[in-house]
Amino acid sequence: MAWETGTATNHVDLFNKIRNFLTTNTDLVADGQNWTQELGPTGTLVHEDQITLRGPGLTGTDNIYFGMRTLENPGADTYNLQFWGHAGFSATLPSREQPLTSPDAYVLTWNQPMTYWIVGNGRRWMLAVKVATVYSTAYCGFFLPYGTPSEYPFPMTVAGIALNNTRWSSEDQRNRFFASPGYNTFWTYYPDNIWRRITNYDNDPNNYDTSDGDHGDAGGYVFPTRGYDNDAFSSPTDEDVTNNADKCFDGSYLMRDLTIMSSAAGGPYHAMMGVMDGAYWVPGRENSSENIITKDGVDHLVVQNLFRNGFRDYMTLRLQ
Amino acid sequence: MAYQNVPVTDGYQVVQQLANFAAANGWTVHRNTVDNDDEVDDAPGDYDSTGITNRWDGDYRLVTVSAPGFSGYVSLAGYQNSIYMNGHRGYDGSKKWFDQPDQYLLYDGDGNTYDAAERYTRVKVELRVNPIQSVHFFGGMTPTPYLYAAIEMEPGFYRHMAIGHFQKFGTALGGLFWDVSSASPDYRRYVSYYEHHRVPFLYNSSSNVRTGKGGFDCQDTTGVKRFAAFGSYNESHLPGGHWSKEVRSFAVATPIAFNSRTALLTPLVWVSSEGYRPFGTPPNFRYVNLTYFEAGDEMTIGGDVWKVFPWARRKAGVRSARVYFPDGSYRNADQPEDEATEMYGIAYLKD
Repeated sequence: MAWETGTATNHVDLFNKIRNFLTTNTDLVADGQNWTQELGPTGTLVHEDQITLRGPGLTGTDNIYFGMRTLENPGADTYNLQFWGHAGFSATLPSREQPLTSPDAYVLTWNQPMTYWIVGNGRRWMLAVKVATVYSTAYCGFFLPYGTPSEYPFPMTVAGIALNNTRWSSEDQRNRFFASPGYNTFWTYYPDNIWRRITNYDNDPNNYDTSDGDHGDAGGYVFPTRGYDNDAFSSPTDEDVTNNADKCFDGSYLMRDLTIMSSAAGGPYHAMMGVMDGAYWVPGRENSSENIITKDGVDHLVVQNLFRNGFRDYMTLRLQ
Repeated sequence: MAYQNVPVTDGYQVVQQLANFAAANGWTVHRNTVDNDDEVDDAPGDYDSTGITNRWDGDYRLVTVSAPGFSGYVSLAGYQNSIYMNGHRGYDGSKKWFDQPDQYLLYDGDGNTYDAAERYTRVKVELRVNPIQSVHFFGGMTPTPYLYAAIEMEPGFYRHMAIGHFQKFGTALGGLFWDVSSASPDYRRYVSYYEHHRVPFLYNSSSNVRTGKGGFDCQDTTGVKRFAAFGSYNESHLPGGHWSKEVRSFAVATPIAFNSRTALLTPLVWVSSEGYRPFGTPPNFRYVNLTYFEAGDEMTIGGDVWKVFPWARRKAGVRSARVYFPDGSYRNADQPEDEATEMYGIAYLKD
């Protein structure tokens, strides 16, 4: 049950808590799934420190790398986390200059106390943090691929909540949670060793501009919050389904897998790439952030889409 | 689970053999008899008419089945070119298949099923070839009871029937389902488009099918028993089914390009009742992309063997209401050989 919740005093404290959780959590250590810090100071981290951590996978045979640092701009009142993944590693290179590095992902935070939840295993970690009235989230590490390790050796996704270093209160239409990612917030490493953008929305800061899988400049999209197209067949669309989905008749929620779908429209090919590990889309009806949904004896934390709380703006994180 | 491939020549024999298969695999067969009536159509085409000109005049096979320990019944009527189905909560062996207690079919008591509301709830398998070849049965009682049939009208050309009980999400009333595949009989010129077909559990308004949609027993949000139709066109039943646009997304993304593997998609059936309510999934039934498979092929995943078939025909359609010839002449693309469902397929668990 490797997860923890608590209060971080500010963005730098959260930086420390993430590092400390992944490297020392007793459940992770007991399971041999604790991450190893490869680069950066091992003591208390301060602003401008950069670290690189390596995840061992579930059996200690993987090398899953990511780097992280804090960003500060007091004049703009921005205090955020920035992180990136990489498929290669060199002990002689700084964290920001590692080989096969993803584009940057951002978690919008602030320099005030905030409640956080972090979930991890040897393959990936997920973060939810409540900043004033909004919820920032992140996913970093392997997902569950539709392929064997030899077919897809490094199924990594790096997903934050924003496309750039901006204030937590930003309502840019591109800033969205990873259950229905906005433009330049979600990156997946393909079997051909290229990081590609995964998005459910076009590159429009002001308008609700959806991006189906059949067009655009993204490698793919996340299902079921987005679909391939709205042309063939006639049934409720992805927007219809997620806006109208409700509880089951007995009042329980059906949580749906989040599947990363590659599309030849903007990517190399059509493919079901894999499923997010322990994160699910859930209907927003009669729901709110920080609710706990118990499924098969395991608690799941409900988290909203940054500042949004519409019917399709919720997901759950499995607290395990 | 059980599998059997049985030679048959018409709808009468399909229903007769289904009763035998059901009885051998744990289902209760309440009747399996010959009846003689003229209250339905039994000619391909002309399905939006009153049916008077196509009135059947001869024997048909009448069967009613249920699963022990599960509520509800399904009656089948097997004619030469058609198979009709009806779901009902009660059973009266003295009454016709379309006149059962607490039933899905909106029968008005006039002795036939020609009126619009009756036709639209009169679930029908249309057999466009005579004689037909064989039927592949799949059945079992776990995880929930099911009887599936892939009817081979001619090599590579199929219809499908599904009877059983959903694996429900949580607790809900009902669970019995009965459904068929159909090829746009109301707008025949569109049979060459895959998106104008529908198959068991699919919600697809593009199918233009009013006479070939099945249904299932469920409830509404007030806790009242209701029937639902696999689709939207119905006067009194709730709409439901697996959203066809999600099938589209799945079908495009498999086979998986980077490893050439074929994934299976479990139908996720919703009910529209003050919002979309997840209801359940049918046991041992999947949608599949047939790019790497032909009709009747088997695929193995772990210890499971799945047998796959096209929705209708595994071929690209002309995607036109007309078939054009080199001399510029044309005919309507509405013949049995024009039916095309591209790579859309169904996988049934065989072993």
